[in-house]
Amino acid sequence: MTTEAVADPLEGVAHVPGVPKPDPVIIADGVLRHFGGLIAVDVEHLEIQRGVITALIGPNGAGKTTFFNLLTGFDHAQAGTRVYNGRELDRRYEIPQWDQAKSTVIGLLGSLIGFMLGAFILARADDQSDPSLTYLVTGFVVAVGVFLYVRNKPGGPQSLAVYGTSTALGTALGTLFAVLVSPTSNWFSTTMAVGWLIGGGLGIGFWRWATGPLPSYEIAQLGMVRTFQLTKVLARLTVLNNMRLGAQNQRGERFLSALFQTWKTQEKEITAKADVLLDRFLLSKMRDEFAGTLSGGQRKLLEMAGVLMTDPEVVMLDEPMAGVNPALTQSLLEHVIELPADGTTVVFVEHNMDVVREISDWVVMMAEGRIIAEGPPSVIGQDQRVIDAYLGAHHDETLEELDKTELAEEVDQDLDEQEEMAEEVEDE
Amino acid sequence: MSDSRREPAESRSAIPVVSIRDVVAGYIPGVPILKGADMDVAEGELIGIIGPNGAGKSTMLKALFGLIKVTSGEVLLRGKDITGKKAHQLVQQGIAYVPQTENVFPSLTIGENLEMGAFLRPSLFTERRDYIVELFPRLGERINQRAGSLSGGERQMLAMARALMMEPSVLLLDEPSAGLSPALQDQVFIRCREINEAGVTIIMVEQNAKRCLEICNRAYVLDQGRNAYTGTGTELMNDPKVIELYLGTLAAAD
Repeated sequence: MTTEAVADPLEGVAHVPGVPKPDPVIIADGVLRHFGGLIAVDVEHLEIQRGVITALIGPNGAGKTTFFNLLTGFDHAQAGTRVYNGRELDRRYEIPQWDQAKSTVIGLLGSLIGFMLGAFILARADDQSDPSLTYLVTGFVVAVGVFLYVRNKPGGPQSLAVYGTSTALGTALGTLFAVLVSPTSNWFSTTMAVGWLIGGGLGIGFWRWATGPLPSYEIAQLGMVRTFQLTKVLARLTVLNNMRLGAQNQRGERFLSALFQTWKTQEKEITAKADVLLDRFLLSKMRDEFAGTLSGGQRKLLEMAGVLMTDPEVVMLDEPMAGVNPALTQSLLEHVIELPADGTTVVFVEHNMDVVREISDWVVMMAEGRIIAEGPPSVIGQDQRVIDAYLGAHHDETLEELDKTELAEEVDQDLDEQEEMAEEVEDE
Repeated sequence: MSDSRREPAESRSAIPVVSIRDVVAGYIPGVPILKGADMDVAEGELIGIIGPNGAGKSTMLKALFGLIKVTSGEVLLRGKDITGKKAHQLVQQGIAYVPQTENVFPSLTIGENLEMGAFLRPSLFTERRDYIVELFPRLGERINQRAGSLSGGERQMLAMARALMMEPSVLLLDEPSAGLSPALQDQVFIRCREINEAGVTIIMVEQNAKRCLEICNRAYVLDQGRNAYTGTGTELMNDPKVIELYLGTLAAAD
């Protein structure tokens, strides 16, 4: 536990689910994720305080991992917003209404002008070859010109999404116009068909990209990283290479740098950093072994060390200690506790209440997809619901003492819940 | 407190059913995980293997079952040397193995998975299947469901059921309780004890040391590829050195 005399930022925060925090780094609002009839996550409101360690607890099937997936972009909610450092993660660009109208008009006009130009040029040439190509090329040239104009205007980047779609549609309409008007165009011209398809496809793709949610890797680049319950280390790379992969902005990933090998110095720094982390997580001996040879618990450690390579702002750990024996857990916890000192926020899912009590500053409890309790660990730890959910209502009885029928019923219940989710996930 | 811990079983014969003598083994040549481990298991015993991460617990089972190369040392089955024998030969000798992950065929139904389990002795199929359905009624209800769509708990059940289809004399289990809810874990341990009481020798690697030591006759604590401690379940649970090594300082919080 921290012994610094720093004011507890969470002091005075009410122990109520959904309570606002003084300095939230993540805000989730109205997040709903269902799989067919089963509601996996239904979080009305949750704020994660910056720079502290928050534990996310709850029985199996409560929706903790699904919620993690939603926050980090590995899954998409059917409703709700997620805000990270003030940035909305659900829509890449917010496109204000007025700019939408303006840029649509500009895009369509631009394309139309392009075609008219094309028609003009054709009239001057006496060319009988496929005219639709001319229309497309001139349309494209004008479109690019308008793009360069709109790009730097206020609201420009946001408008580009609409602009992009409208240009594509404009291209299609313009081509249609050309076909109807020009006596020499062939309806079934291949160029035209290709023009339609490409223009339409690019426009729609661009629109979806610009107005869609951020994917997981972009969220990671923004500073929110996560580990997985079932580790995803790359088995055929060495432990060291798994670590080196995690570093950000590697020069060697750019074509010219890779070609001319200007990444060597940076590689040395990255390797040094990787070695420091491997040492901290007691994996130095396995540095040059293939990650596939690590035991389950060691892979967990490697994954945790790996996410720290990115110097993240928010680290989300999904059951970091599962499969790691208790003695090593102790030393790992010491590293996790250090993270907030650098301003890093930690959110972790954990079943072991001892671990939660020892290191977390705040606890959020989920059950059946909802947040049912929030508060400091001392308060939550006394909650009977928590004790029952975790340790199993029978943790201090020996196996002999257990009521078999009661146990069988509990097991059936657990399995029924898991089963619904498993089916839905498989269908995805 | 009732004496729920079990005493060592009385061996029916002097020769241990399984013996591991000074085995050195690993996944990559030159990098041994097991560095000279020993184990003796008498017929009908329930043996636990516990220990810290990377200690070599799963590796020991794999070395026994011929899934990895044994660099030096011996593995004996009822006194006969089986070191280096392949897994399918050992299945014919009555040893069944349940790995921790990827232990069912996801594209096959439960019924088909069970058929695969009885592959070597198809005449036993109906009888064994009826026994399995009695033991795991949930699997019986879903006999035509694809194994890939089962939840974690059901999958582990199926994995064990598949192994039991061949009526093994020795059952090797790699962390059967991993990833299961507390209630399911308890049920798994109770089942293992029942299966052992029916005469099957069981060797189980486990992380849930408490429950494992409750049900086993004896256990081996591995550390860094070698035996660290061995004793009955009761002895080990109360041994301060074991508590420190394996259960860590969190045991004090209990």
